[in-house]
Amino acid sequence: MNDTTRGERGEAREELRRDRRREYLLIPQAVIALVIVIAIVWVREVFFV
Amino acid sequence: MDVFWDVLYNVLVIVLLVFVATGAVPVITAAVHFVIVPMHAFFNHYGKAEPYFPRVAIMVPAWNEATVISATIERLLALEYPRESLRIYVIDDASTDDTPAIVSGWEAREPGRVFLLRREQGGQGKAHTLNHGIRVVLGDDWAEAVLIMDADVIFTPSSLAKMTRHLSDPKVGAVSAYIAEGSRDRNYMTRFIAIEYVLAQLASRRAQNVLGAHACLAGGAQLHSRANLEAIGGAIPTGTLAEDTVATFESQLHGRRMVFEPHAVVLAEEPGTIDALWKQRLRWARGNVQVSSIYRKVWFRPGHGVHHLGSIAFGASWFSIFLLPFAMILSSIGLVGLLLLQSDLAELVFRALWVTAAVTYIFSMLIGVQLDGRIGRSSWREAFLFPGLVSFVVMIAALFPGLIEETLPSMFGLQLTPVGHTLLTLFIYLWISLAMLGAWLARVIEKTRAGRFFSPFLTYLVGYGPLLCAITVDSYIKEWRKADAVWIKTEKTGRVLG
Repeated sequence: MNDTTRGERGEAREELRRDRRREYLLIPQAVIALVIVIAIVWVREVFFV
Repeated sequence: MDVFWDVLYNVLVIVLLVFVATGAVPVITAAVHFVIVPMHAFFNHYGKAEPYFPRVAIMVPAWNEATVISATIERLLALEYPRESLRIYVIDDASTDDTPAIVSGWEAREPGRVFLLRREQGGQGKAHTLNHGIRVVLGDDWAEAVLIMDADVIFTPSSLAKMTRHLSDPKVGAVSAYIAEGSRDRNYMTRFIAIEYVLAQLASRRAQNVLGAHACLAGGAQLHSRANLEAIGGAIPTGTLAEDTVATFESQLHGRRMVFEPHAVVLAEEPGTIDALWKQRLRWARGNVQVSSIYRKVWFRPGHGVHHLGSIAFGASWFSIFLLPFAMILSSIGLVGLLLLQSDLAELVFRALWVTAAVTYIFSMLIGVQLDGRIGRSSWREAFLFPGLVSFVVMIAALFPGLIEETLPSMFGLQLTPVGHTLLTLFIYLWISLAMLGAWLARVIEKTRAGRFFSPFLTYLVGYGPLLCAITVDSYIKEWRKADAVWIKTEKTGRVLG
């Protein structure tokens, strides 16, 4: 392996942390999708069945 | 005698119900996959990844790439990666244009960084071309990792470093990036492909990360550790039309983990017409038919070996895509048969099937458009018309009973006659199969003058999903007839975003 500078490694480590944190966005995204789906099913059950 | 007919009738009803249930299998599999996607927040490989900059040999297979190769080399040299740890090998597959001359120029300007490897006899396919380069690279001990790519894709500056960090874990054999549709001149087809890539990569491959089994690491951005390449024989397996899928399977069968890195973005130019898409996907689909057969002893054998390719979830996912056209046709036959025997039961199972499909589709598309903001903003129409306008209306009809067939016509003073109602029901039940015929028709008329307008219109009407299914049917036929398996390269013009 090559000799990367401490700065480069520090930046890479910070980017890794950032990308790892960005994965937590999947949770609210799924919640938004789920809420919309539940709302549609609720409309169906209340007004159409 | 009556008892015999009763039994026969009941058996027939059960068989038809099974047919309809076949259509539910891919829907449920997709639903499970999309429920798994958010779990990637907790079950991912980031915890075991470290900043890591191995010496990487980049393999660029090139055949008549004069329009794109210079820009590709320039961008690779500009990657945010230690300069001394990067070498670019352009493997020229006996090009007849200026590709070798252009690469020679770069070789002279960047000695020790850019290399031209020339094959005098080409046309055998990408795997053969790559192997020519891999043999050279593995011939000395410089390279610690090998990146396989396509000549026309653009690696965003940080993408390679985001991929290599996973190789710090010796259990990882290969890493793939997110190949995003990146054509400069977008049209309806590239927008459909863009949303397909979001669903198939950003969503599905995250789920595969969680499940621990990968179907295919994209051939346009496949980073292997040297140890992994050597373990699978020091070459990309040849003999199929899906060399990237076979390499992915072989790596896992040799006990190494595959990782999809969603934040490493690679832009690619994709087909802008149905015909070009058909040719590209026919090659992929035929490759998948071959892979299904080659690994027949792997499927649905959980706990066998050091990999998860035999898990039920992975097998269900693979065959749900592979056999989707069969499922759609069987489902139509089941619904029409039940309509003739027991129309009430037919309606009940139709609603159960289509409501499940609608809920899954809405959930998956809502996740999909959020995963990549750029694609979500530009392709949200294609996301919601992915199954086609007609299927979209059928889903609304299934979700909201009476809305389409009664409420809406009554607003215009119209009412369906009993015959009209039966014909409409028959059409709806048959639609998922008819849609594939519509997709085939869209390709047929595309080259006509009227086709320039009607082909996109028909594609929106029947849907992009059924278009892919029609191509899969074509692949079954071509494989069954043992049609020539020529490796036809997808035509590229260098219109990817700079």
